[in-house]
Amino acid sequence: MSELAKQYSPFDIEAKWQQRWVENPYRANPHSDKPPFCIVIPPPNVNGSLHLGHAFDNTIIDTLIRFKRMQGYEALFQPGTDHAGITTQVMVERQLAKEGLSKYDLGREAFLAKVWQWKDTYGDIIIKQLQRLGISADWSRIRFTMDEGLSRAVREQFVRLYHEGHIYRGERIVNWDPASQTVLSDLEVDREDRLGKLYTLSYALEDGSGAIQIATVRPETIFADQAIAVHPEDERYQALIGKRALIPLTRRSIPIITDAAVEKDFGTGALKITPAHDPTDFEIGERHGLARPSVIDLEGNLTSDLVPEAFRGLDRFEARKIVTKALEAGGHLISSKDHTIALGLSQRTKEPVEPIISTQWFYKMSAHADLVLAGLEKGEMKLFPERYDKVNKAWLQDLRDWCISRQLWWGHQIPAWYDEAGNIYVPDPANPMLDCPDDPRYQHLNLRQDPDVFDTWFSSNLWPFSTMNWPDLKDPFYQKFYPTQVMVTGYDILFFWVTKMQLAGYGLTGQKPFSDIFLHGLVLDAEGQKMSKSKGNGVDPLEVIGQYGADALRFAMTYASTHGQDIRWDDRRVEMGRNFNNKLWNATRFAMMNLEGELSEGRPESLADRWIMSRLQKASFEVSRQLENYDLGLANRTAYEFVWNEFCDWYLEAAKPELREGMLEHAIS
Amino acid sequence: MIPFITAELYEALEPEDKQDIGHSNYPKADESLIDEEAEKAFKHLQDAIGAIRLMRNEANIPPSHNIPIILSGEAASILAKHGNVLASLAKVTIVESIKGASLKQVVPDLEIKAQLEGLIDIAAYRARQEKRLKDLEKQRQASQNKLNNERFVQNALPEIVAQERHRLEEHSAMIAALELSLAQL
Repeated sequence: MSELAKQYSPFDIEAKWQQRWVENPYRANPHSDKPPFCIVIPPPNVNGSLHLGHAFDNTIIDTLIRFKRMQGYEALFQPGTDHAGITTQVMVERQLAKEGLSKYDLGREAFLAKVWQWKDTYGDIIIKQLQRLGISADWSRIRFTMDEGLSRAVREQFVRLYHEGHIYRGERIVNWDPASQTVLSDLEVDREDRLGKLYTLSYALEDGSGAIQIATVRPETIFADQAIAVHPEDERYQALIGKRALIPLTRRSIPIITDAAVEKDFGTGALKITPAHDPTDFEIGERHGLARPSVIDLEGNLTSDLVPEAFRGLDRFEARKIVTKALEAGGHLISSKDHTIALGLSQRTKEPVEPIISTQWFYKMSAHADLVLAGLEKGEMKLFPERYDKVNKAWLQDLRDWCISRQLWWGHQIPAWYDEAGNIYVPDPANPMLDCPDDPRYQHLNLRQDPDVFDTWFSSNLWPFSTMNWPDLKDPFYQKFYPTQVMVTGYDILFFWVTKMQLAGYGLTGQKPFSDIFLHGLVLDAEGQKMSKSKGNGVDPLEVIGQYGADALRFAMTYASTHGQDIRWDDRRVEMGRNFNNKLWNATRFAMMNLEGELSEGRPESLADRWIMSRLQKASFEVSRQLENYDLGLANRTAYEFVWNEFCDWYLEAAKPELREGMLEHAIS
Repeated sequence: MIPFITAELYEALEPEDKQDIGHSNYPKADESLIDEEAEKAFKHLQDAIGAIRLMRNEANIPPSHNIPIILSGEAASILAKHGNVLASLAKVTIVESIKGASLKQVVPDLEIKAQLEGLIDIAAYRARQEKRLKDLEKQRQASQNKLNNERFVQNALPEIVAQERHRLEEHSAMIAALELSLAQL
């Protein structure tokens, strides 16, 4: 035995071990005979800074990884980062804006060089912060969603799915941000309740037999209406079905149709169907084969011949006021009342998003849903807590086609080319890395690459196997560690990420990507509110570590990990962790001071020894069982109770008389 | 869960192991070390110590004073074997007989009688306890009066009435316990 410092000083100890674990990481050996145990990190954004969600994920993962490694598994904690398309691009664009420049001033190539430069300078901040947390990742294997290997995997995915017919180019309604001129994913849109108005408008029947009243929150889009829909069983409208109604302020008439998606109780029970400007209307329109004319341009202004000349060119919100006035003057406005609208705002620019029809790349996710569902059914994958199994299946049964293209520069540029006639060229599946312009077959063509990039999730969905060098199936890491054992992440991205990894796993590798899916809750503030920068209620884990040490934070995180519940942040748990560490330190020091020489291997004899050894076996058994069940909170409590209550409060006290008498032969192992 | 401190402690305890704790073997429960008999005996010890600490509080006996106690009941012989631990943790001496005033506590399988004579000023203790008894009786009477008052029971909020009933029960139980301990003195 060697000496322990008198005082527990987390900062000295943690600095020492952190350095060792970084310089000499826990390397995973793909050639070992031990059974594999692999967890891939949910890749944090490369431009990010450690937040409590990361600390929670990584503490849980590291606890499981260390547990299994010590149990004799070949454990691989695979680290890495995500290129975070829009977030990173916006960040660098902001930096440029400070110099009075935009990305267009630099051009695509120079701009991307700037982003890479930024990534090289700041990209490992988050890695250093994770290292400060003491996680036992294999730091010799850090991957990045845009590194060479992973880019190859992304291209393989696209080329394969395209030629299999699961990827297509099509019209879809998408979230358009008129301020940044970009299509946004649902994840990039914040829903905010805003007070608006619900207008009841009267559309005269074409045959002059009366009128039908409809409810809408967007009267300025009536010029793009293609139908009025009512519920098929709505008795009020039975006589009107099949008739035609005139769009107010125009001479154009539209049919009155039925669709089960219409809610009888909303407004008047009759809806105007405007496929180009509302996702639900788009779907209803698709079912009925309606056209999709748009009356709002990419700047957010009213446009098109369908719009009466007086309103053309008006900004969409200005147009709402002016059109409403005209409707009122014409006697078409029956009523308007206050109505709360869940308005979609661009997370970045705060601009209200505009649903628009656009030609985009789509991935038919439903193509591989049956494989995943069968895997869940067969128990190849299990969810913890179990209640998420239903949620997971429900997502898989209701998959919409995923718009995978983004109007950004930072990301994997879509490997599709167009000739002058607009024909599409995608690399050959036999040689996916060969760009079409370099393909001898296309030498006579003037090809232009699609300027868009893939949605970030179109690379992170491959993470469990792209990090193992897929599509190189002979790679020793792929062979040893894929499929991985556990996926640990927040329940909030079950759909956005977990489901997409399942589809990619079954669809591309023919295997599950992981066996167990452990979903944890969100870390909320003390009042139960979501932490956010704008609210200023966030807790910075690095500050917590600076005050109490990483072990104390990790104690608090495991203590709070109970069955996927959301957790409210409470400093007292960290204090509890620090006090526990102090206690453990002092108890060990006390024991060491009183033990002479070697630890004895004999059987315990005194009552206190027999008792504590018996309790230790039970605690050890319990902790293992609880960790196997992902009950980290319980495992923490079991260890805490044993150390604090049984070992320190009772055993050490009870052992003192024996120590005094020089009788203690058996120590604590 | 807490890898830094455990790595440091492990290194101090096992300096020969050149690998850190992360590469050591996870402790495996050894069933042969599970000792229900020792656990049972230790549980009696914990109960007894808890009861003695309670009496020490009750009678206000300073922690430095050693209390002579008599043990009876099924677990007495088990505890007698571990008199040194009991003595050390609860500052007591197991004796055959005690003289004068005493206090009694009952825990599962065990009755503990603690000698007060010679440890504290019995007369002052009795006077203090009797005053406490009087105060408690007054409070009990006040609760009883309130609850006898039909207007209170009918008009007050149900939770206030329930609270009063609870208070009455609590005081009654405290009075019974105090009377018993005074009778034993």
